[in-house]
Amino acid sequence: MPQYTHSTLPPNPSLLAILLVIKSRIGPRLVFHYPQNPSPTQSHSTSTWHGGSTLSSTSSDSSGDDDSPSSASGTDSGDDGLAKDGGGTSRTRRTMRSMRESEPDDEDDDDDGLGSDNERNRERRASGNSRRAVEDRESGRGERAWERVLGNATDGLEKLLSPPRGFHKRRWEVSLEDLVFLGYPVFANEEGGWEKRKRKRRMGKGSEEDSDGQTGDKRDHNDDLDAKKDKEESILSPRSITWGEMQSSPVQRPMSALAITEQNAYRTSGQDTQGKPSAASQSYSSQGATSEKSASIASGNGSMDDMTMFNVVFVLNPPALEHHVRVLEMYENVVKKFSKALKFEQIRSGYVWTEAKKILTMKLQAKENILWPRILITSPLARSIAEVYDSISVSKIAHVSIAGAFETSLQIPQAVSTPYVPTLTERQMPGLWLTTATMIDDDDIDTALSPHSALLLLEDKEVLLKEIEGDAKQLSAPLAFLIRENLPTKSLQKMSVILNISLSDIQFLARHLIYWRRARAVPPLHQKDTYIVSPNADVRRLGTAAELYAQKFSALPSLPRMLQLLSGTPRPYGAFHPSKDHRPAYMEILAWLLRGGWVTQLRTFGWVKVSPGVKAAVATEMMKEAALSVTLADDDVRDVRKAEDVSNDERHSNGTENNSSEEWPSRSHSIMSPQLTGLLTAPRPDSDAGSISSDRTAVPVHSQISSPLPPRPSPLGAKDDVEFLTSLDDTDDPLPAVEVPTRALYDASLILSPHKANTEESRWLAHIRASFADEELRELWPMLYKYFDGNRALEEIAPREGMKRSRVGVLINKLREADCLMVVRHW
Amino acid sequence: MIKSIFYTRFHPEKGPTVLHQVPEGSVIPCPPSPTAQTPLFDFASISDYLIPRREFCDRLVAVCVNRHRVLGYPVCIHDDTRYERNEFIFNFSIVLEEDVEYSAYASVVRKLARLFRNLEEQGGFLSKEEGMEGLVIAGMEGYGGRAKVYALCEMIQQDLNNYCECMIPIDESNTLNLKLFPTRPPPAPVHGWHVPLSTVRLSSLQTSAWDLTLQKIIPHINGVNTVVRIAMLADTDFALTRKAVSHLLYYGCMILLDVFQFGAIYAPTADIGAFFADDKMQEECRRYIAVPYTPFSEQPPPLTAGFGGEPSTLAPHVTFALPARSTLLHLYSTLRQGLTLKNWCMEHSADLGNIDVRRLITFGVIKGFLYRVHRYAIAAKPYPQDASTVEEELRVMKQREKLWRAPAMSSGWMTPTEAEERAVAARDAALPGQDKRHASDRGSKSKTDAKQEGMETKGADLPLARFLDGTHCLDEICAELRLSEKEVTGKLTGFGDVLFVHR
Repeated sequence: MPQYTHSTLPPNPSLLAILLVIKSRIGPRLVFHYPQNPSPTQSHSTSTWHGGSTLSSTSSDSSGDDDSPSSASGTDSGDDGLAKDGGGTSRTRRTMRSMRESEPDDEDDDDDGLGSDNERNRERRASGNSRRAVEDRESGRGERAWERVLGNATDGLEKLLSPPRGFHKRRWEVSLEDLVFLGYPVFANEEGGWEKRKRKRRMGKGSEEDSDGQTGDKRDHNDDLDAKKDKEESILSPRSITWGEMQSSPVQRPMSALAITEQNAYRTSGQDTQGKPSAASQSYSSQGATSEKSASIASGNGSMDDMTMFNVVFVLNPPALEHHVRVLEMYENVVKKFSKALKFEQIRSGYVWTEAKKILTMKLQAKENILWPRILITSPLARSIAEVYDSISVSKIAHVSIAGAFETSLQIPQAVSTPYVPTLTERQMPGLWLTTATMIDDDDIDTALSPHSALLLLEDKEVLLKEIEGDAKQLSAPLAFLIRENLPTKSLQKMSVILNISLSDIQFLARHLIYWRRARAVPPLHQKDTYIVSPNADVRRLGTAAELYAQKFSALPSLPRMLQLLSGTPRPYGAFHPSKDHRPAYMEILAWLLRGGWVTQLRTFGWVKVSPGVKAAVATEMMKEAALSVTLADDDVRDVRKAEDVSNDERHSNGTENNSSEEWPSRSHSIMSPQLTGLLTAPRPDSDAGSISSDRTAVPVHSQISSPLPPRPSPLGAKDDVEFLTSLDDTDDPLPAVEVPTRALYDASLILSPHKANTEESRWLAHIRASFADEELRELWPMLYKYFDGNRALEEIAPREGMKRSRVGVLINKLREADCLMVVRHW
Repeated sequence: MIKSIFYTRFHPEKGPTVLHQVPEGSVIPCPPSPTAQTPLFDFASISDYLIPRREFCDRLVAVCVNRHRVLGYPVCIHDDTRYERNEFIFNFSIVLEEDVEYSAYASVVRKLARLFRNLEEQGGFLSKEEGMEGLVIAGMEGYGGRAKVYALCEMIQQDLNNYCECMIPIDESNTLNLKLFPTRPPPAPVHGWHVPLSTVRLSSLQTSAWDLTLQKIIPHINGVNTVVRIAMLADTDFALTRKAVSHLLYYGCMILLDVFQFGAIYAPTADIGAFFADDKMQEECRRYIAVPYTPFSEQPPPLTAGFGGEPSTLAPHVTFALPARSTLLHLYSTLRQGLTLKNWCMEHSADLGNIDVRRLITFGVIKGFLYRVHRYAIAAKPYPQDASTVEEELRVMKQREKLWRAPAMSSGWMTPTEAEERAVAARDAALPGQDKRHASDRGSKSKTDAKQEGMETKGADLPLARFLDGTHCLDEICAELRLSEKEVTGKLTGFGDVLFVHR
């Protein structure tokens, strides 16, 4: 499954910590957090909008203030850029940074962008917090190290992190300054149990519970609650609350009396069970008390299970400009999936509650310094949380085992390729595979791995084999077999024949390897294909890569030399082989280069080119037919014509203007079929007049690009749905009132989507076909031109159509000679 | 777009209470009326975040609910004498769509919180309002304009939504000034060999209050001059010029291009297909690249028209044929890797009679369907030292230099090195950072050569060696060394086994 994500930002999970919060009858508890001492100032958040230099300068800025320099990104090593300028620019840089991150000051931020000492402020705040923590401990209030997380006391945090019931199985996101707390809270059903039941009747106890979390949602709750919550439609939406209900609602009123007593109840019970003095009682007496607690207490009485909610909270500090992207990818790929897995196990075996009780008990008895390691040893849940954090925070794949019962893997998908070349102002992740090969087959892409693609292993076979041996899973044997035998020069289809494995099996194994980022689906490597040095190659890795390369291919040309070979005039790769014996080694080098993003395949894309001669001939034919149809009053022909008119109008509405060739059919109609005149003449004068005036306006440099550049074009081929016909023509010569169309009237144009050709285009295609002298070409033309849409590489024709490469090559050459094909080469 | 602004405070008896909301009914239900809207979300479910425990006050708290993001900054004022329960906790919150970029609003919320805190501390602006006779709060019949805080919220919402800023006088000593500053990514690094091209007509925006450097360089920004050249032409400091350009870049009124050269290679990117499909862009291109006469024209230019002038200076009545669109497509499709522009022009001279080649290329580069294939020099054998050892050697070298110079200086003669160093120092100011190191290397080159010590001869080559790791394109080397590409190539090949890679 090739994962093409829209963004080609380098991965930056910005993950600071994972907290497990549960709510039981004694109130919310922060059960466990990992790592043990998460740092709120940890600079995960190096900006990734620009690679290299800017990045390094900003990160050095922040790491200058932090004690822990950024360890997360490998892009720190950029050696050029703003880092080398003097003090003057560095001030600019800081200003801009502060504008960008717009990080709060406590008191003195006055919105003028001068908050350049943000870091210091943040640090001050953080150190203030930790100082407080130390003081607290010293003043003998008995607070232990884990009772303060990310600068906040856990008893405050656990309240904050236990959302009301309305967030059941929903995205729950709360930010405190630049920390984002992200969760997918899961609640017990209203009786306090976890089993999913088909509820038929309404339980008295349950109603009490949800009336508080959900101020006015009573009406909705009368319906089937569980089923409703599964739906996407939000029950937090208060559409059902009416004013009358609000006025009569008991919720606002009982707060004072009820809440206080409950708060106290909670306190005492909290003291009892936790054996610690309540630090929170100093302030805030009843204010924070919501009635959920009452609910859990009230409803908990009769329940089988004490835990009413658990929430695995991921703490992130994404860079301001990437907030939405980072939070969303973390939520969709990790938070939700992990919580769902835990929910499954909680329902099955009460796993989360059991583990939570275990950890809480350990915390009560524990000695400070060895508590965390002990929890990790004892509790599989804590271990899973640690594994998720350890892997996800460094952009790896987390493989977690839930309760030993089942395993799941979590990852934030990374872009495998990009079609965009980096520019001076828009950097992107260097070393990313530059290609459009991963995006052409929109229908293919999600459903199945194309059988015509080959599997390129991203690590050495030996390494992979060792890894698999260590794993010793059920899939190991076939995987090892495939890895050992895999050839990047053979498509999966061919591999399945060679290895005598069914194609679907081999696709399954391949997908497995691709998912685990151990392989990539590529067009099969071929010595007759052309490869160039990728403009997106990560040259900063050149030094280390050259060493690795030298170890692997010691007797062959060095890495820089290979790159030099491939950077001249593009030639088929085979041309660089000194002899036939070198071929296997050279193909191996190619695979190595491709996997490191050093090279990319230069592929050929074509469009059918319609020459003026063809257009004139077709127009003449059509005129004759039209004349015939008028005389014969042939209904069928008129139908055809109407269809043409429709497509003509479409084109006009699509914004194509001043194209006399486009107007040609209508003109012919207006000559030949007077009944249509009124309909067709209207657009003509407008477009002509418009074109002349606009053509003659010479535009000065500055105003020419007066609007900011449009964002990069959306993925290529987005225009596919629109029937476009590029008619290229010189509007300067006015269209005479002709009787017979001549070639001089037309300019050559391209047919952009031959598989969706309109009537006129189809006629052109047919006419071109008829003009071929070559029998074979005439026969294969309908198959060939399907590939000439500018999105599918001509290199794909041979494998997909089961033809010989050389034969396709000959045909393409003939087409080019006949001036029927325009080709462009890119990746 | 601000969907709603509301003012919540912690009521000692009622708990978190919404006192004001704009528009009415957006947060808590209001009496039915034709204009009343239904609440955007359920207030009770998030009231804990809007009025949190005291330890979470005085910081930005945002919560997402029902596809909206509520940004608040709870403020807690502690005063034993004035308030019941000794505390006054309130929050002015802004409601946005969940997927809106909210950092600009965050600073607004912060500022609001600060302002109302001051007002409350000064004269009980908020708490006194509640004591007023006949105060109608949100959700009650007849709620609306009369309350001062309501009016404020309403003005803020309308002004920020319509003008992105507001200035509201509150009393004789307090005025509320708010503005939404969009968050922008940091600008890309600007280097000497980059060619800035403005995307807006800077001269029309310019005021006398603009930065002096900026004012001086603007006439020279034309999409042809490099930053170095602009600094030279405008007679401005290079570092300041760079900084000015990077400011313009930050505000999106500028893009950066490569130096246009006939010796360079340009090739299509994957976006070329989008260009082929875009009639409008092709028309734009035709108009942009057309000139009446070029060196490739068959007819000589008329003597009256200023040849070589920008097409923009031509009077609009001067007519000339625009290149056909098919020609355009053909020309673009024939650019390729490994073919210098010069050779390409030779191949296609017949088509270039009315086309400005520079504009043809820059149009493609600006629109992103062409890219410049840069040339990089790489040492065939990786240089044994990594960067740190090179630095170390340089340090050692400089120390020796000092030792050597001390007696020389005491003689009272101005040594040739010193003169050279001065020139170098002058340039160092212009090219800060990395170049400084390199420049001083050059300064020391003559002596080190003379010394004939193994390590030092290596040191003499170091300025070139540091360009040979493949991260420095030839444009950069030329700009840094102030040499033409030919000279640089000569020097580099003379330096040893150097490979050139195009990418």
